[in-house]
Amino acid sequence: MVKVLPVKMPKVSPNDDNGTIVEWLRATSEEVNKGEILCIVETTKSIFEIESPSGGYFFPLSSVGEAVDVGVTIGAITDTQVTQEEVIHLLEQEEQPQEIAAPVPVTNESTLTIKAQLLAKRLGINPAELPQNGQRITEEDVKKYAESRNTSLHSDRLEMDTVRDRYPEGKIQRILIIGGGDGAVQLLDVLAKTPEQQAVAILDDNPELRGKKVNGVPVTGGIDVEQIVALYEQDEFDAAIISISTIIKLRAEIFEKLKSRGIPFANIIHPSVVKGFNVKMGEGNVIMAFTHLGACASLGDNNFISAYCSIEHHNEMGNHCSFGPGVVTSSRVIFGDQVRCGTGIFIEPKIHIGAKAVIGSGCIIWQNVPDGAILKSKLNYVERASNKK
Amino acid sequence: MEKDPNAILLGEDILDPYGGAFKVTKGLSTKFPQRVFTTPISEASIAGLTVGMALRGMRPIAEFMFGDFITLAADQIVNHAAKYMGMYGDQMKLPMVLRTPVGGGRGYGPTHSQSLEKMFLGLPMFHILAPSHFVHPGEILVQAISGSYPTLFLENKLLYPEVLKLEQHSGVINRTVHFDEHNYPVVVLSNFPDKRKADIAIVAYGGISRLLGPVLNQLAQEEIWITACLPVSLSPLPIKHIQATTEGIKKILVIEEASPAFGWGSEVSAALYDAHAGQLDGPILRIGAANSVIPASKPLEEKVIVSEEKILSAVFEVMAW
Repeated sequence: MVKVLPVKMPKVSPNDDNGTIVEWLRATSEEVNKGEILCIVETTKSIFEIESPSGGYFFPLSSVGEAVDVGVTIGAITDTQVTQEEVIHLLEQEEQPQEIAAPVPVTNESTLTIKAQLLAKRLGINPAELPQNGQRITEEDVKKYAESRNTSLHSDRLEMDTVRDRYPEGKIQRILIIGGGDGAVQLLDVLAKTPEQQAVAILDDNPELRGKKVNGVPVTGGIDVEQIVALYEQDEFDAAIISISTIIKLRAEIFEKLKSRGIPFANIIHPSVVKGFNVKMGEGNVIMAFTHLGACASLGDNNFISAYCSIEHHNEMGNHCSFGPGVVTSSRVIFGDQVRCGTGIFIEPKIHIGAKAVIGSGCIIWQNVPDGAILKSKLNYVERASNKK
Repeated sequence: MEKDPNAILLGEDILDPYGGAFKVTKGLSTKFPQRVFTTPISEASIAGLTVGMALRGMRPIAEFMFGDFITLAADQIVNHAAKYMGMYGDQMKLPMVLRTPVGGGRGYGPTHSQSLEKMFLGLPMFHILAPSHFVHPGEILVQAISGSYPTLFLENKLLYPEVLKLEQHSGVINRTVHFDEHNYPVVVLSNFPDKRKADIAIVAYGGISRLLGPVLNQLAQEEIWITACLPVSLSPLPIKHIQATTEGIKKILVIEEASPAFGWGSEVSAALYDAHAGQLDGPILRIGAANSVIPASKPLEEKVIVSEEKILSAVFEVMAW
């Protein structure tokens, strides 16, 4: 097998896409050593030499005066004596194009236009269930599909048990409160009004609280997962609740850790809360006085909703959200996980609030809020301080 | 040069047969041997000569071989060219044009690939023009030469081989042209046929136009509707036209080839925030080169400068808001 090595026109200057051969310094089939000069090439700025890339027999394949594009073969080196025709034949074989890889099958996702993908995501439609028509699926197609199945869109809610969070009748649920701050006091206040639930202990990492009592309930130790699991296994409590509302990350972490260890969570709901029908709720939620949950609203797990909030009908809330007092939403608002709302916030219908968004007090939200966004209301500030002492 | 015997050309290596590093002046020294001058390698003296000639009634046009060398002429530009019309008022004009190729994409490395116009933006009585391939650069150059103001004329290197796109409709792309207060064109492109409102407004200039054609075509496939505004005049900024073009569009993307910090895009964004306060869906997104030197290695250079991919991913990011 004859080995053939092509010599190509190099790129020596960014200004030039070709070079002109001025002179061949070696004859056809002449023996050359590696590094010996084969020819002289001219570009717009200079003249340079092309060296042999290896030892062997040299075959020039371009003529003097010819302008050759960069990367094009101008000659070849073979390891055995062959004819020029053989060299050209060998090079042609070498330069056979590689087999083209089979086309990647088009995924269903990419058959949707980006607009269609965004709409499907917003409507919670799995792209795979959209009817295929052999063409790209447009925003209009997704709209039509959503309209066509509109009746079935929320049918699961109609069959839903509205009292999934109810504890067996006649038995008092013993509650372990995690976190001993102001949140615990609020929880204890609610629990004092809910005869089916009773606080049995509070855990807090502050050693100064250890052994003390909050509203008669003892602070028995720190927030230690193993300790909590042990307490549960010893049947010291039935369900846990987290009173921490300001540090969402901590609230979420504690919840996830305890859930992974099989600890059940209670929903603590003030008796004054107005609940519409088909309200769906996970566990670990705290809902304070005078809050309204509209019909068919759904809450995930571990949310903390302060007093005087109105979560309107068909709202969908993720997990680990924390709302200050007076957050009022309109219909079909969707919250991601770990959304933090300040106090006095109004949200327009069908708005999507991205995960981990932080919405400052006093905001009026009339557009979708991306994940992680921080919104601040600039409506009021101290314009002038009073001079009077 | 045929029209005006006062037009004079000067620059490095602009004589035939070389005809300049980018061949823009090729043939002119043969046709007008008395009015085309090759100069020593001193951008400061080229600019000084140009200012002097313009002061005395000529219409000089100088070429800087690369836009990167313009800082060598900074004193002549900032303290002389940009001053005289203000200092002497109506008594004089300063019709001079400094032409120079700018931008990266050819692997020329850190000192031959930059877009340094931001260093000269905002000088009073000094115009900076950057034509795209959606306007006729030759006509704009003639307009600048025939005008009264000292002008920096930026030619994006990658636009040199581009075919001009001057049609009103080309595929899905529609092109309309407005004219600013100095009669320079402000091109408005859209990738949708009807009167609907665009999803995103793009504001850009110069060589970015090369990327916008393919980007607008691809986005039309994704049903993402764009109105793109490409002013030729960077400074003074035809902000009223940019504001009018972007009016009512909820998302805005500003693209420039230079690094965006402290630049043209910052000024455009500030002006657009003034005009559209409270009407936008989110912050104006600015994209440009990374704040870094431009590498000589082509694969690395591609990572630093703006590309079609970067624009598309910025658009998708903005759409998801």
